[in-house]
Amino acid sequence: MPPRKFLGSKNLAGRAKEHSQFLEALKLYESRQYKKSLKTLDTVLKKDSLNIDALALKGLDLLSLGEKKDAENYVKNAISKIQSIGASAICCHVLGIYMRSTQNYAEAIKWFQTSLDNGSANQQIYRDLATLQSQIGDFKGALASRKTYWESFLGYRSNWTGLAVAQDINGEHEKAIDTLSQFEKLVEGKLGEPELYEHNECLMYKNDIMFRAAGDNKDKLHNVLNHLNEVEKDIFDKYGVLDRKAAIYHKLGDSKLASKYIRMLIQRNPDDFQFYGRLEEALGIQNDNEKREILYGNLQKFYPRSDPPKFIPLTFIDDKSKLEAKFADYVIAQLKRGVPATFGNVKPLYRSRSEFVPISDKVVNEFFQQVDPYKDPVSYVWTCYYLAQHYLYVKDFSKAESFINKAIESTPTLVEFYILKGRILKAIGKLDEAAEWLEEGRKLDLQDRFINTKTVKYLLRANNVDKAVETVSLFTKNDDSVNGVKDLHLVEAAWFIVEQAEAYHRLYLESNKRLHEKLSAVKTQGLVEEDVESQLKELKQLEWSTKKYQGLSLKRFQAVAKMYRQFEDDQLDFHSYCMRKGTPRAYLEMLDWGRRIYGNPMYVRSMKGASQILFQLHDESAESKKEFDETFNGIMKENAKKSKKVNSQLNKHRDEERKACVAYSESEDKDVFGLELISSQNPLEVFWNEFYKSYATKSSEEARDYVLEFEYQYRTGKLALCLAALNKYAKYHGEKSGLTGAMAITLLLATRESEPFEAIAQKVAFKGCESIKDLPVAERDNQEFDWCSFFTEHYEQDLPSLLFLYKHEPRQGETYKALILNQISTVRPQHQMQVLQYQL
Amino acid sequence: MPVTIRRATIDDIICMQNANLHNLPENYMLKYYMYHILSWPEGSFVATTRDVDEPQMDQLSLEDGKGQETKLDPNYLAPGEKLVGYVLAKMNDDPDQQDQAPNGHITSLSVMRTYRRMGIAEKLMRQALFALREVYGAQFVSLHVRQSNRAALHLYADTLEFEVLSVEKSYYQDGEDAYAMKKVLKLDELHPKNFANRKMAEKLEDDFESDLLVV
Repeated sequence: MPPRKFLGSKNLAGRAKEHSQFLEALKLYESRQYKKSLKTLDTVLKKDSLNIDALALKGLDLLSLGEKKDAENYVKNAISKIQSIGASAICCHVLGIYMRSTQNYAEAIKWFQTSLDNGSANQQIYRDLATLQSQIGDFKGALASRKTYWESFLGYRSNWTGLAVAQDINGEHEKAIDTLSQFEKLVEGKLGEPELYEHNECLMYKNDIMFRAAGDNKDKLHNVLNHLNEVEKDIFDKYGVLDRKAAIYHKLGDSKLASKYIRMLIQRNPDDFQFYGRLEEALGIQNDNEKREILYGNLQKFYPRSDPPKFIPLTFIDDKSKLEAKFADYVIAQLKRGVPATFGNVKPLYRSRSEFVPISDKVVNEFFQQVDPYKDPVSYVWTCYYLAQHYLYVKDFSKAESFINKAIESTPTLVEFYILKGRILKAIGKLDEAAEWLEEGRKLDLQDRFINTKTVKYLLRANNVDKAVETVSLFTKNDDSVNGVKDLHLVEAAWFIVEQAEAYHRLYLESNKRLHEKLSAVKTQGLVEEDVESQLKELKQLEWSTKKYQGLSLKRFQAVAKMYRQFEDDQLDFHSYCMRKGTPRAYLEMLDWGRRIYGNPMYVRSMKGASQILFQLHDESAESKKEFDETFNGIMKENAKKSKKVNSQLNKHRDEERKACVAYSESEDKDVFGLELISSQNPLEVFWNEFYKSYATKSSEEARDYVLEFEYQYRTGKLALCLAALNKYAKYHGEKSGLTGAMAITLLLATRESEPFEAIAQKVAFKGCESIKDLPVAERDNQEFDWCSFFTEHYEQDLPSLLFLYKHEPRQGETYKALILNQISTVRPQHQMQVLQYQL
Repeated sequence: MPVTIRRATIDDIICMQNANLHNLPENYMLKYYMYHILSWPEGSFVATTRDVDEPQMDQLSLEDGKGQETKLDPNYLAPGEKLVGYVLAKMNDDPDQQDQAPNGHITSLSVMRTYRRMGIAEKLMRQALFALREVYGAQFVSLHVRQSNRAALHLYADTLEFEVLSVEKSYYQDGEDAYAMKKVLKLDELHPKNFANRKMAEKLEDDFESDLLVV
């Protein structure tokens, strides 16, 4: 609610003493003596329980002492009184600080603003405002704040830089350049040694703005160039200067000078592939393979230790025998040196130019024939290692295994070989064995965290969570914890948390399946007389595991989402830090990064994992849940005495289990197993608040996952938004894409009268369906229509689309299942098993 | 694609943190990486590679609409681009040591085990040392290394010619001692072109003028 203006000094009149006590408390707060501050405030409040200033400051003191709940109460109390009485500038300032400390940035902005409106003379507030406005993306507001602040403190470079950055962000390029230039004039000849770096960054930043604003305009580009030449002597970022010059000359069409500067860049860093592409472009030879070959021949002489001149020709040479010879040169030199990544280096060629598969096969096998395992063991084992990866790639698993076995036999001490052995076993679906081989490798080098990490990952893939946690904890700080899980959360180890979440999810699916099987067996056959207790125990245990694994899985996915919110929040300090430090260019990159942060692979992976759980919780009908509970509780009730005994047996382990799963300190989090999370009455709301909102509002349109959007909106009942998602998907992936078809069919069938969607939404969606090419809308209500055949005839069948239909169209489930089985027959056994075990 | 060495940007830091967590026992929160990149944006470098794998069947990949696929894997920066090594560098900004000449510090360096023996760590370090000297005017650079880490010691002492200053007892959390090492930085010696060839005798330098399109 917008706070009202301070109405006057009514609540201060005649209370001078209390006010001075309040000011004393404020000073104590500022010097971080929160307890003393509280004491002073209490004496004020004793006399005047309505003293809003004191209430607000008490809230802030309590927050600083970690008493979040109490703090909130005092602040709420203060705010409710402000409604009628109004607030002093200082009180609003205090509330602003409280809101900022509780990450309530929009509210903090409001209070800071009100503090100024109510007459605060504290100009520092403008700087804090600019920071908060930048953090929430209100750049217009930030510009105004930065400007006011700058006017008050003209003597600091950071304020000029801050103003220029704000102008630049708001598209006021000329003004930004002007601001930077004015300051340069002010300090001309007066800069000391420590200021020179900041100066260099600001000069380069000005050139950045000029370059961006110039576009392809030649006159403007010449200006940019002149400026650069003028300031070059003061710029330390020589790489940046060369890069800019190359770009300008390229835009000006001066290929000679453009290529000259790119050559200088290459000399500074011959290992950056990007430069070579730019050189080709500058020379205008991208389509002239003969010239390209000469170019790389020459560059190779200058840079024999660098990969690009050797590698790039492999991507374009056509002549088969020449290609083979070049490939042999490239690969065999690395094999002789024992480079583990040799195969990894050429693998992209397998995909982009399939002729490399037979070439590689031939070249490396021929080399292998000549190598003497005794005289040249290095070449021998690394060639085995290469061939094992080659055969893994072409899915000849037995050959892959035989080559890696040869390598291990010859040199049983190299960790890399054990990792590959594990990878091959994983590919053929032997997950436990794979983890065992990783464990063997790990024992060879206990100091190396990389092999430890890999082993843990394999253990988790094999759903062996306990062993994984035990192993990963060898490298973590386990000060106040029985294992490293808490530390891994603290150091933001997303890789582990996600892998653990996925392992828990698989364990949940398995446990849930067994629970239902067991329950229905008991239901039909009853409990076996002589063995009631152990069967009750099994049932209880299964019921608990199912809940626990589901909760923990969601809890871990949520931990990653939290982590990314923290990353977004971590930017806060830098809105003013970068201005002081003089790094505006890096700062602008940070803002850009911050805008895309929720599209990061690990965030998306966690969100998708969470969607599986939360969508399922949403889909589970109340009926089936009730039925389950009735049966389960019925059995327990019938055997109340024994069930009680079993319960107490199982509860004994609960505390131990809990300790092993603790991810945060007790005071922060009591829901260790995530049971509260999964028992939410509104799983879709949890999904939106915890995962999807950030992603949906902060990821680029083209990178969005429109299938997920469809799945989400389908469940919220917003069919019009499903239609929008479908259209977007079709736009980026094509009208014939499998998922386009799968979503179109699902959407059309959702518009049938029998379906539980709002009639208006159905109408809109149906209208949209009518304009989808080939979609036989007239068949919608035809119970006999074969949608599956329609799908296979009109769309590109692939696994994701078939799985989508399998889940959404149970009527033809068996037909889709058959198609899925057919579809997975050509993929790695590992993936086949994935689908069979967890998707069908 | 073989490895590219380039300047690190803020877009790399999540993967740098991940690589650090994979390889080393000393870990930092993301904000510490932000602090490095936003304070000394020209000082840190990464090694990345393009990896093309089988399309993932277990939903662990993401298409970006242009047919480009990003694996949902902690190592991935962008479609097909994977981080395999990094060097995180800073200038010494300890307020108690402001009387010293400007000097740099290597906070962390690591290369994924499966990408070793390609000289990546050396190349990353050479770029970082050059940048610390050229951009930040560092007169010397320091670092710490575990006494038991023979490969790293070899790189610093032999290849990069650092000297051991002292042994710091129980420097690491687990009680292991560290060597404190230092190298004086001289700009003309540090230029990466000096290390483009294995043997100085073979040295052939680009004059930036000659026609590269004739044999």
